[in-house]
Amino acid sequence: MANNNNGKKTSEIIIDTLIKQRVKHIFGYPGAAVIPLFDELLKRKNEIYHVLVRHEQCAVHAADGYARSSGKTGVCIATSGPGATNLITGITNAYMDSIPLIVITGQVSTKKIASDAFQEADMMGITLPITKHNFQIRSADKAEEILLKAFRIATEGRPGPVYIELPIDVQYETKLNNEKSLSNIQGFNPVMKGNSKQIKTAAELISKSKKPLFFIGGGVILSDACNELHKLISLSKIPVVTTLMGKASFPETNELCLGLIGMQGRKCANYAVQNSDLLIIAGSRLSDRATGKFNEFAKKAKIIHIDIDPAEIGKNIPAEVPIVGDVKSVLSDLFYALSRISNKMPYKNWTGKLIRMNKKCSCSLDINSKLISHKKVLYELQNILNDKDIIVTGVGQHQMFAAHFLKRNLPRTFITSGGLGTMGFGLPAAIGAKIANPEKRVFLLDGDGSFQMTLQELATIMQENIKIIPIIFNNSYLGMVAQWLRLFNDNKLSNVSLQNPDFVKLAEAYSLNGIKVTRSDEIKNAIDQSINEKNTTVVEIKVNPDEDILPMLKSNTSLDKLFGPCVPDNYFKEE
Amino acid sequence: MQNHVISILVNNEPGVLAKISGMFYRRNFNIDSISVGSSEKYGMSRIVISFTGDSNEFEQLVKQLHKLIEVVKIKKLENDSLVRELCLIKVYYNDSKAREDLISYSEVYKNKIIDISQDTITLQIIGDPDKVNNFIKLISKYKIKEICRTGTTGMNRG
Repeated sequence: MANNNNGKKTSEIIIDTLIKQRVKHIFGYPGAAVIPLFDELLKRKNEIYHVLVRHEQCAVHAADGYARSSGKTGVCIATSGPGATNLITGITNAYMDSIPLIVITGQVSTKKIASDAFQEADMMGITLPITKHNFQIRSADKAEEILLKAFRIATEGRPGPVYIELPIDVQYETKLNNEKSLSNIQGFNPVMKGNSKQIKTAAELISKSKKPLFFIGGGVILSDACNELHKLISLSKIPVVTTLMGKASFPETNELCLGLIGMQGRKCANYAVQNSDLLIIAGSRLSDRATGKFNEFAKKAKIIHIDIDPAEIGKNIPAEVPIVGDVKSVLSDLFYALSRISNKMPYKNWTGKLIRMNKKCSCSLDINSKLISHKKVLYELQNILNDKDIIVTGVGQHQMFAAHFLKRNLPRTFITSGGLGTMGFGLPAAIGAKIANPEKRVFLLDGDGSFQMTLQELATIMQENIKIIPIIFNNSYLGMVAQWLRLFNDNKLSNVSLQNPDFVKLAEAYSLNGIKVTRSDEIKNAIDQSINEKNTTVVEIKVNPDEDILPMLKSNTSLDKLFGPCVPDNYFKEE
Repeated sequence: MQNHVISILVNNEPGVLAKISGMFYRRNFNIDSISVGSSEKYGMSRIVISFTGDSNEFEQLVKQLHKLIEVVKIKKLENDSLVRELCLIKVYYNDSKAREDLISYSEVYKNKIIDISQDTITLQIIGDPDKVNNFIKLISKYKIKEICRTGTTGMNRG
C-alpha cells in the first residue's frame, strides 16, 4: 500500500500523502498551530497549490465548490481555535449535502489539550454531529494511516466531510516505526450492489404501473450515475422530477424532465408526484423542502427508494421497495432488469399528459418591466449560457429563481447550497469551482445580502487572478425573508431592508471591474462585457424589490398546495 | 412501544461513547440504559443498550448506529436472551424486625447482603430488570438511601 515514511516529520507525511492522493489544490488560512504544515506546503508548492482565502469559512466553501464541480475530494486547512471554529458553517453545509471533504486543522500541543490554552477549542467535540467522522492524530506513526482512512470515509458510501485535528507538537514529531500504513477500516463496508430480488420487484412494478415517475436527488450526481439514469429514462420513457440537489442530473431541456420539485417546485413536477402511482426515488434523503408535508406526500404512490445510506430509507417517508446500494450500480441493474421483462408501458398516456403539461408549464421570462424582473435576467443569461458553463448560486430569492427557471443540462453545472441554505456560499464556492475547472466559464448568481456575507473573497479573486462572472441581483432586501414576511406575516417587514455599498466601487476597491445595470435592455450587454473582460467584472443588477419567487408552498403543507398567479385553482384536482 | 435490547461491538477509541450518546441526543432517541465494558476481542468494547420505542424508531436507531465508523457489529437480543442487571441498594432500618424482614426478602430473591451498619443494610441484586424492579417495589415501604444500577447487559442464548 503506502511506502515507508520512516524518519519523516508528521507535517511532511501529511502533505506527502495529500499529493499521493492526487490532491492538486488546497484551500486555507495559516496560523500558529499549523506552521509546520504551511512550511511543508511552501516546499511542495509546485505539486500542491494552496489558495489563500480571507476567512476560514470560505476555505471550506471553496473546497466544497471545488468538490461539487469536479467530483474530486475538496481539502482545506486552518489553524486551531478561532480558525477551526470559523469552519463550522462550511463543514455543516458540506455535511448536509453529502460533499466529500478533508478538513484539517491544527490544535494546541497534546500536553496543553484540556488546559484551556490560547486558541484551544474542543473541535473533536464540536465536529461530532456535523462530520461523517473525525480523527485526532496523536503520533507521527499514525498520520498516514489516518489520512488514508479519512479519504476512504469521505468518498466511499455516502460522501461527507471528515475532520482531522493535528496538535502542533505532533506535526513536528518524527515517524519511528517501519510499519506500513493500512487503510482498511473494520466495520466500514458500504453496500454498493443493490439486492437483485428487490431490483426485479422494482422492474415488475414499473412494467405494471400506470403513472410511474422518477424522483431524483443529489445522490445521482454524487455517485456519477447520470448516464445510467439517462439510459433508464430513454428505455422506459418515464418522466422525471428532481430535487434542488438533483437539478441537472437529467437534461432539463428534455421533454421528460419536469424539473424542480417541492416548495419552490414547478407545478407540473408537483402535480406529477401527487398523482403518481409509483415513485422511483433515487439518491434523495427526502428533505421537507422537496416533499412538503410528509404524510401528504405522494399518497397515491407506491414507493421504491434507492439510496446508499439505509438510514435515509424510511426516515421521513416509508418505502414499499427499499433498495440499499450505490445508485449508479442499482440504476444500471434496474436498466437490465427492465430490459429483460416485457414492458408494454401501460403508462403511455400518463407520460404523454405530463409532456403536454410540461410544455404549458414554461412561462415566458422575457419580461420588459420598468423595474427589472429576476426572470428577465435569467432569460438573458439562458440565451448566453452553454451547457458546460458552471452556475454557482448564493442563497435566497435569486437562488430559487435560478433553480426554478434556469435550464441546465449537465450534472455538476448547477452548484448551490441545499440542505443548510448557507448565505455567503456563492462567492467562495465559485472560486473553488473555477480553480477545479479553469477552462470553463463560472457564473456566480448572488443576492446583495448573500454576497455581502463573504464579499471579502473578492481579495482572493484579485490575488489569485481568478476570472469568474459574478451577477448580483440587488433588490436592497433580504429578499426571501421579505417575501415570507409579505406573504405570511401581514407584510410586516422586520429588519430585511438593506442599505448597500456601491458594488461597482467595491469591485474597483479590489482592483476588479464593475458594471451597474438599471434597465432591462442593459442586461445582455453587461453580462457579455463581464464575460469578455480579462478581469473579474461584477455585474450589479438593480432588480424589482417587491418581486416574489412564485409559485411556492407554505411551510409544512402538501405539494399540491402550491400557489401563485400561474397556478389555476383546479390545477391539482384534474385527473 | 416495546423494549428492545441491542449489543454493539465497537472499536475502543477515545470519544466513541461521546459519538454514540451524541447521536442519540441529536436524533431524539431516549435510552433506558447503556452499559459498556471490554469484550473478548482485543481493542474492542461491547455496549449494551436498552431502548423503548416503536419498531420504526428502533430501525432508525440501528441504522444510525451503523453509520458510526467505530461501530463494528450490532446484534439485536431476542426475547429469550440472557439479560442481567446488577443493582446495589442501601436501605435504612429502624429496628431489628425491619432488618430481619429485609434479610428474609433478600433470601427469596437470592440477593447478597454486602454491607451492614448501625442503621443501614446494603443489598446486591442480580437479575433481569423486571426482577430488580420488583424487588425495589417490594421494599419501597422502607426508606431507601441510595440505588445504583448498572443498566442492562446481556447476550443471546447458545
